[in-house]
Amino acid sequence: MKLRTQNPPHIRSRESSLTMMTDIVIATLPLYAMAVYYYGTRALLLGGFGVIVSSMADGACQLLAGRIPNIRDLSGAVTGLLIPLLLPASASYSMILLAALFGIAVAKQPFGGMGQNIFNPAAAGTAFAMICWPKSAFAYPVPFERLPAMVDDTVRLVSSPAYSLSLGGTPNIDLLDMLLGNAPGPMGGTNILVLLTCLIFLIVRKTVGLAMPAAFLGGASLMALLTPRVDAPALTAVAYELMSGLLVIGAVFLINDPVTSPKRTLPKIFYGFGTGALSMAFRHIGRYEESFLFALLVMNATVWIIDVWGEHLAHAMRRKNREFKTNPPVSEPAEQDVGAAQK
Amino acid sequence: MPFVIVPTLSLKAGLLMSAFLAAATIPSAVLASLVGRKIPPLFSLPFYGTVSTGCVLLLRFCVSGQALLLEDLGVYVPLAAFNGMMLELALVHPRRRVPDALHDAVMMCFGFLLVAAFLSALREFLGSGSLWGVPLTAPIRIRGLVLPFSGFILIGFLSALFRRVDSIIIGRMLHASRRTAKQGGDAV
Repeated sequence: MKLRTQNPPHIRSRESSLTMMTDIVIATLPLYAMAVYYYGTRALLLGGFGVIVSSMADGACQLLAGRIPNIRDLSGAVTGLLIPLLLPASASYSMILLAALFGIAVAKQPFGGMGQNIFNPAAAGTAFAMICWPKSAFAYPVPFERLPAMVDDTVRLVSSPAYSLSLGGTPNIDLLDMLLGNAPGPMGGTNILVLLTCLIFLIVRKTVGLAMPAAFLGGASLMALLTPRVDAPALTAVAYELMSGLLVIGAVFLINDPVTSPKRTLPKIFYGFGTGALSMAFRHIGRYEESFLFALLVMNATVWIIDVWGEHLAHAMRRKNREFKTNPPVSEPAEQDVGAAQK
Repeated sequence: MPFVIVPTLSLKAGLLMSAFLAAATIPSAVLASLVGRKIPPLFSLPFYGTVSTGCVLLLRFCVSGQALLLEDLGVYVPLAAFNGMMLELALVHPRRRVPDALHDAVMMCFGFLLVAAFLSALREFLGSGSLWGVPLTAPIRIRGLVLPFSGFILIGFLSALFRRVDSIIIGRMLHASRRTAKQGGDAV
């Protein structure tokens, strides 16, 4: 019998990589619709440009590696769709281009391509863009101000609530506005309600599970609760922290990547919690106002050891369970009254 | 590898780093071929270290006018006195004949020079927007290129490119040799 080893994702159901990626593409459509509503058709142009660049880079890298390009798995397209959502709507096309090229040609294909990459390509590409162009990556257009196809100096750019939090101040934006997306921020990261709807869609479709996003947001919330950066009631501070930056969009799209996340449930919970806590820690000590992507990349590098621990734990639990079933504990007989027995 | 990645943020720095490495490597390699067998192993490292340090100091004295450039190179100037090429040619595998030692040392340093020049020129042009200190208009400014992680990534891609070219050349040589062998066999 010829055994064939294969890296994850291992799909043994009607679902395949193509269906999972299609679900994610569908889930990003409402975000792009809201982005068009807030910023105009430039949002669509950025998304389309990202898809084209990522798909072409994916195909070119596969050709260079001597493989037949398979862009039908939509993994390149998903990367191309996610990168503009993580950046401002005023991001330049060159920023999207280099972020997509970095994500595909540096973070994904050199490690073997889809199913074998260690780091999330969209996160890696966006982090690279943030390092290279910090001023552009953290300056956001105002919602409802239509952006031209080519952004120039006349476009008004403002800072996001995450910047106010990084300075220790309370954002002067209502929490309800932040929930509805009426706040400056990453193109797809501000519409919290829509993001949560996308998460529900993905969970119902069984493309993602609840464990990792819940653990991630739980870890971030706990850190925000224990180490608040603003002088506000505890729950308000936690709400501000969660709804600013890339935490929610990261919980929906990035942390659930089946290739770069652990395989078993308990390791997933540990991974999600660790990523959330590390994101908040980086927010305290990091240089940038938003550090979730860097925390995610650090945790991506530790997934292999988390998986090893998870396997050891699973085997230990299975062994204990088997021992319990084969040798159940015997209850000791009740003590007899010697005197009564003798009588 | 740290020598070619961390301090080479400008073309001038890259070339100066190459000069320091050459100053440390070539004299030590030639000396190892001349008197290497007469030096007890216990004293070989201090001996070659002293020789290479002296050469590095001499070069540093010669370029002492470039204070800013020397400051950019920082700790890598003294570290160049004990670089891997010098240790390889003087301590680990000293060459027996002076021409061989000189040839190996010069070619190693030339190879380092090529890589350092390419990397530093690219990082200065796209990262800082200048070349040899002259401001130029780059098509795009990628500030991340001046960070060390970009240097490691660029080295990785250069290595992959070299391996690809190498495999093509070796493949063609194998193909030619097989064709020659087949023609020789047919003739027989």
